[in-house]
Amino acid sequence: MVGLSIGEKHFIQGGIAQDLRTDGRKRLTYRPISVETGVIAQANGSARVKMGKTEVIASVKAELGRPSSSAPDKGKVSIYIDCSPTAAPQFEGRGGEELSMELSAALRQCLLGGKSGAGAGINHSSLSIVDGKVCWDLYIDGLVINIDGNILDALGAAIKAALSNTGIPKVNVASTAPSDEQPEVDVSDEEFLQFDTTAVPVIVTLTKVGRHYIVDATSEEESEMSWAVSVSVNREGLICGLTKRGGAGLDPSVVLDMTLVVKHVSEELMNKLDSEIAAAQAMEEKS
Amino acid sequence: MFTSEADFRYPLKAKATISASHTESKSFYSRFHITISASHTGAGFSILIFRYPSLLKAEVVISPTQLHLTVIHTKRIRDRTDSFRKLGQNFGQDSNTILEMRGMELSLNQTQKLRLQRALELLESLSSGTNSNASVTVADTIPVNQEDGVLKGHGTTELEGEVVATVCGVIERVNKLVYVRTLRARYKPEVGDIIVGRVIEVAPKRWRLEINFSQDAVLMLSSMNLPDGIQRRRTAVDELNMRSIFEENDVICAEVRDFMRDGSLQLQARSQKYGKLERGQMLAISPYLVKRRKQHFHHLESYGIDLILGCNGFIWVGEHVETKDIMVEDEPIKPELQNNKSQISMSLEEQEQTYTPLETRQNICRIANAIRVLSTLGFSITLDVIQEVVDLSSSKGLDIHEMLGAEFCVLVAEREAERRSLSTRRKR
Repeated sequence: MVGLSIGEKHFIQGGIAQDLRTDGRKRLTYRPISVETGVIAQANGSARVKMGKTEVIASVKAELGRPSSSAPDKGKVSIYIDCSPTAAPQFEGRGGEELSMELSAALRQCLLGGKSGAGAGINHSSLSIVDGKVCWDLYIDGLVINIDGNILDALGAAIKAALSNTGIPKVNVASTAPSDEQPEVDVSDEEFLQFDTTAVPVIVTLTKVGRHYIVDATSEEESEMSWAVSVSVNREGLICGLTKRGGAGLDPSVVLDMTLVVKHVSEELMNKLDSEIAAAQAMEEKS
Repeated sequence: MFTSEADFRYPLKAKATISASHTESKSFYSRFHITISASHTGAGFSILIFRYPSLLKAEVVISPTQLHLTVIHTKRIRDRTDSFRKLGQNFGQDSNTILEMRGMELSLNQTQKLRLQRALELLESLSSGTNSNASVTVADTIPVNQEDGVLKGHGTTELEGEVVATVCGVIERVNKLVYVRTLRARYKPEVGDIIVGRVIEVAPKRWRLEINFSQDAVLMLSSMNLPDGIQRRRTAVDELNMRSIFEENDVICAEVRDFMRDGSLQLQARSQKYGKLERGQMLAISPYLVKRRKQHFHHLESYGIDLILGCNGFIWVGEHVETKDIMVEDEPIKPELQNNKSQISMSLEEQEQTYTPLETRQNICRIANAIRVLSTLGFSITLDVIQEVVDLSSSKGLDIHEMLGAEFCVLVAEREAERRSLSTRRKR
């Protein structure tokens, strides 16, 4: 990312203060989002999301596995993000690892809920096949191709789109099986069950620059931020997760104020995303 | 996950320039260097587009916006003419593929795609009227009068007695010299060009600027006016105070003075209109969209905005700043500098008072978005075109950020097609 001169920084801050950012958006307006599903043929579900110049790809792969002993009736979901060197030269080799870890942790927190599985956006019980013996392991992977600010929101949207696109194969369990051995499982190649994504939240990141918050910051605006809070909100308006990054501290009363803003913004984003995903699915079916 | 090549295969719908360059020996192998600029490039994605035999090796070099494929054939280029020509044909420019490429950047729906396609086709048909600037693709023969003893310049080669193009571009003729100028070329500087650059380093007695060229440009301390305006020899104290004139990351407007021995540029910023640019935004577009004109500094009085179209593709849109004449002695310049320095330590309230007024800011954003739309469509950027786009957007009552949407893009293309067809009709 190129540096900015003092004059340019001043201009950006002025824009945010006057509710007119450098590309003409208001503080709470998102950049145009474009969604494409089914980009990876080998995965169970995949999506590519572009927010302005920020571009990410998410894919979902389902594999058979054993459930953990502490939660025998639930499947497992793991999220991992990788920052590609095309996004920035410093991501070559292991340079992107720090950011990848941070993003993966934030997404896990936002989408997977607590340790007991409570409050998770993804219903783990729906992934179970045979209690205690066989379950689906969902591997959600994200790849960041280009960074122009607001990667977390884009990744959240991509994962939601990829999950809407996911087809879990139908499974026939052989009924005659001894109780302590692994049952035989026949995975169908033809029939797929669509994954239920009504409870999957979206992530909205609010970035504070000067005295005001903005939504969907570009990387220039992010260089001016004091802090950024990412909130994941589901369709009912309930908060599923919250992460803060950035050096400056924030007053706790500000958090409550922000959650109101987030609820309002997330509704719009959720609707927009749903319509884009539906359009993308329709496009995919046509081609 | 994305480890093996077979994992991800994306149908490549973008085409671009192909250039073929030969090694010195001109015999052993020919390298086809294919540059594809598309919105769907990414690391680790192997693109299986070539199905030609005797393909020895393909290297993939990825840069953030382009994918370079170097294809190495074993036989001499002479023997490869047929596949060379096929390559040229397949990668020729047709409006369909350009449309797909542009369409992807903007996610147009079906009707918008059709309209854009029609507008682009109309523009193409208008522009191909001029035959002397014939566009060629790789391995096209260049029509040349053999008796004239023509000089073969860049982008051409002699093949079986004919002059053949090795790059995709437009034929240029200067007296006896024939060469092919590529469209999406890097910035090609000339002495006297006005450029906008960003300081990346403060070095002894000079500043290094980044200007979208293969090398950094140099602005010597002696080519820059001192803040007190006196013409004198630069002392060691001046050298130590270079940062008070320009710092790292500052945006500067300057003029190309000459070339140095290694090909890099030397700049000068002696006039009052050159210097540091503040209170605005800088846009980066492709250099080929900015043609050389008489005027690159535009002061739009009705908007109160300075617009500087740098020949290197960097464009500055900002609030108008009065160029002070240093020769006038009664204006002390030192307080200005102090003002700048203290901006950092100014409190938030004081800073707020110095922000650009909203009206000017709206105009700046509108013009910036107009330039962004024009650069996505690949139209040349001149003041008239920008004015038209801005007028179009205000007449349609569009919000400023909607100017970056798909609908406005299609509107601009249609409008431009209309305008050009009107002007050609008027000429006839």
